[in-house]
Amino acid sequence: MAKKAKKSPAKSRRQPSRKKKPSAQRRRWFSWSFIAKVGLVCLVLGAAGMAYLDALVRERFDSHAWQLPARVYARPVELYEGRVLSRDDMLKLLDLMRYRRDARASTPGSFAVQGNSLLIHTRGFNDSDGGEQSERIRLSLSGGQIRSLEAGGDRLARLEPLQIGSIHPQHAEDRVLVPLDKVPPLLVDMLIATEDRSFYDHHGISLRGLSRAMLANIKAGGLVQGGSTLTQQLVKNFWLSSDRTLSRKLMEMPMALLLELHYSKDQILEAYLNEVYLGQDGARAIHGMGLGAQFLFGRPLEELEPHQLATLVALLKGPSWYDPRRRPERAMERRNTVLKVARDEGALSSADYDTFSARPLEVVPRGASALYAFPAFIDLVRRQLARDYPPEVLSDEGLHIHSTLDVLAQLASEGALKEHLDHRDPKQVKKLNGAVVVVAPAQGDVLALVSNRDSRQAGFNRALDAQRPMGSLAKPAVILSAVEQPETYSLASLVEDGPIQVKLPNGSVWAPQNFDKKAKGAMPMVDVLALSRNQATARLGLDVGLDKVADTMKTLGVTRNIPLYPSILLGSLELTPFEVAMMYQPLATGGFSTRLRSITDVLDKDGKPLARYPVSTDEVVEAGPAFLTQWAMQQVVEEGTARAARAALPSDLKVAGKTGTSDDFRDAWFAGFSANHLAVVWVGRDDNKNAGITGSSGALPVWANLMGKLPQRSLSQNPPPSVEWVWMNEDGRRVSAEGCGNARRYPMLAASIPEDSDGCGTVKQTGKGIKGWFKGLFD
Amino acid sequence: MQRLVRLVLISAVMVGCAVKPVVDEPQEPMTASQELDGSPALSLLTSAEQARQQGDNSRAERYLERALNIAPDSSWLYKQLADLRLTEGDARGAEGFALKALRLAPDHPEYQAGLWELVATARDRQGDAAGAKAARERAATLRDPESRKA
Repeated sequence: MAKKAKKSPAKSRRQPSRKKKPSAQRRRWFSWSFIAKVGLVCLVLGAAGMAYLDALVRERFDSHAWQLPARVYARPVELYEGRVLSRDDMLKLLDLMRYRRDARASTPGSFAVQGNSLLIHTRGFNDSDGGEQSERIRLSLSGGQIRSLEAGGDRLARLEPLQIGSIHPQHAEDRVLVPLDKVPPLLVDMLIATEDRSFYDHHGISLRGLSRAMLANIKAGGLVQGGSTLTQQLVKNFWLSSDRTLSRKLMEMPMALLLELHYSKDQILEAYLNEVYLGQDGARAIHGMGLGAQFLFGRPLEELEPHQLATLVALLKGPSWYDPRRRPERAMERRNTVLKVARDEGALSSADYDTFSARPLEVVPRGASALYAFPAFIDLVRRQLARDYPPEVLSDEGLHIHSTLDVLAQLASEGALKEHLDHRDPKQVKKLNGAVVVVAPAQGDVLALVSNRDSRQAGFNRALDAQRPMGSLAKPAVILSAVEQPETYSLASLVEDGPIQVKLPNGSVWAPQNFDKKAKGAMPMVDVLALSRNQATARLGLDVGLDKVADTMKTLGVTRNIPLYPSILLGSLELTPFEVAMMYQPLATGGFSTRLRSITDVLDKDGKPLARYPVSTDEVVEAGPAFLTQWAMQQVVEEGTARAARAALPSDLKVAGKTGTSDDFRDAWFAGFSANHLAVVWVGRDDNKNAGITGSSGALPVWANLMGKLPQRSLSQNPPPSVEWVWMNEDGRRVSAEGCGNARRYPMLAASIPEDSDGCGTVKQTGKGIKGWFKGLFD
Repeated sequence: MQRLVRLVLISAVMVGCAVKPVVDEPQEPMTASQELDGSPALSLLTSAEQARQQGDNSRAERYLERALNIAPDSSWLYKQLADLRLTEGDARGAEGFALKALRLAPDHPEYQAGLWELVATARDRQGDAAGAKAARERAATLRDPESRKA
């Protein structure tokens, strides 16, 4: 029985084989059992393959569905009554944030102008203090100020922080995640109508869709529809590289099926909308509709109008082929096709179709977006973040980084540097370049950072990395060291400005020269600083003590090793512009040292606060000496080497600063401050050659220009209790009175006020003057 | 002769003082509104106080930092930051802010004395006993009407 059964199939097969004289091999090849075995192997392999693909699909989709780079935002724009803000600057901000003009400001991200009055519909955002709801605010601006503000009963309002960049250290993929419920329904309708009409009916693959697409293409005489479903397209975008090998094509279908098996249509749609590749911006790949909206239109996806949504859908067919910036005609044609399909499918009314297909593309010019406009500042943020976050967190988790950047200060700084260098070195023959750091001194917030005359260019970050001799910027440290010894020195003390020679341990002689190669003789200490006399500063510094001056520099925030050479008195120490800002920050605040920060808060991708970078401050210089030094630095601007700055500033504004020039005119510096802005400017050449510039001519104009554009508060002229105003004889050793000879008025610490008077005028001094009077009673 | 004139003048002043002694009028306690009345920073301060009551110190801190941007010379705001830091266990930060608040403080001895006490507590917590003692002495001097008159 068994034999028979075994034979019978053989028999039946043997019949044809006789005719063809087949070999034994051929017979075995066709054996059923072999087919069964192969089938089994295939089944096992297939199952293993499917299991592998299944794991692949689920792993990627579930865990890191989207790699979201950390996004960096500028500081939110705070609006309140009395804030100094011109109407022009307000409009500039709204333009940068791509607020749309709309007579009724009916939707978030729109505004209306009625003379000096603005109606703004804000966008709302998250912050560590809870953030702001979208609201309509009305403000009136005049005389460079916000005169009134109505914001739902509150007197404060904030515009959302402008996104200025993102951080993706490992790869160049970027994305703005938009949840499905925030995606305009019209976009979904258009997408389904043009790309995959049976999306809600198929299981990942649609033969009907394929044939219909082919038919439509034949009818249209070109490619109007693609054959693969949205699910397949997602698989391609998500898991498979772009090279179109057969094996990849073969994996696409089972993966699409598996995806549909595990996830809902909404999940797949959301993934598709956020994953789809829409083009390239240099090294940055544009993924997802959210980023696409920002990249092309500079606005959130929710705010786009139908023709703009259609442009995004049009791109799906070929992001580079239909690039609306480079191929506007093609993009326009394809966009209108999308609009037409949407109308035919009932997603768009005929009237809307007529309106929107007549609209231009309205794509913002490339580079007009604030995104990636501030590479030097983003570099600073990246460095500060890298201390606290591993790279994968920054590239994947969609952190929101709230930075300290003030867009208006940044633009003013960039403009001032560029304007000046374009004027000094229009054809770039002298190869001048520069850097600017602007800080809000009290909180240590870095408001602006420029590291190139072409500020859009990334590359060498001069503000952070160009380490240059600080030149005369060192001198305030010498003055501060001196006035911290009030028994010995006051700002009225005379210092000899004349040739000085110091024999160095190595046998050479240090003999500093004045800038004008002249010696001016004895002069009060304040003039030594105001006129930036090298020989007098050297003499004073050596008298005070090199170690004391070096300690003062460290106290002020210099972290580098300071060699005790006399040349440090005149600024041989090399610092970066950022380090100069650190050193001048306590001088600007009357002696309070605050760490400079570029980040205030870190939020997770849903806007929940993760970390704060709070302000903290230490008193490092006492009120008295700090006030004296600041006052001396004010004289630099009032009557010294920086008086040219006065022309660019309001006449009643009190500011202070110091010019700096290094040997052979290689580096031009100016570091100076008002009560609310500290700005450091460096101009020089990357190759460190003679740039033919001085602090006054090379850097000061940049400083004056940018400070003049920002709202400023004067430095306080009220001395602390330890300081009083005293008229001093020009010999610097006797008290005098107003109107007496060359008497000058100085802020003095009590220990510096001499008991002797020159006897001129009525001596109406407080402090020692009165003490002396009383003392006379009991002598 | 000149010396005699001076002595006579001094005596006259002393007599005058004896007749009409300096009255030590108690000062109104310092409040936020003395510095921030009419400023939009006041509403941020209120929000900060609410956040603190809810135990959300970092939110409170953010509000205070924003308020300082609007009212940068407010001693009161720095005092709130100092208090907050002390609660959070950052004694060094508290000392820095309290000293800053003192720099900006109005002529109000009781308020200033309170700030010096804050400095003293912060210094104690950092193990700086001498510094704390010095700060307490400053507070005591400010509260002593005799030394105030001198």
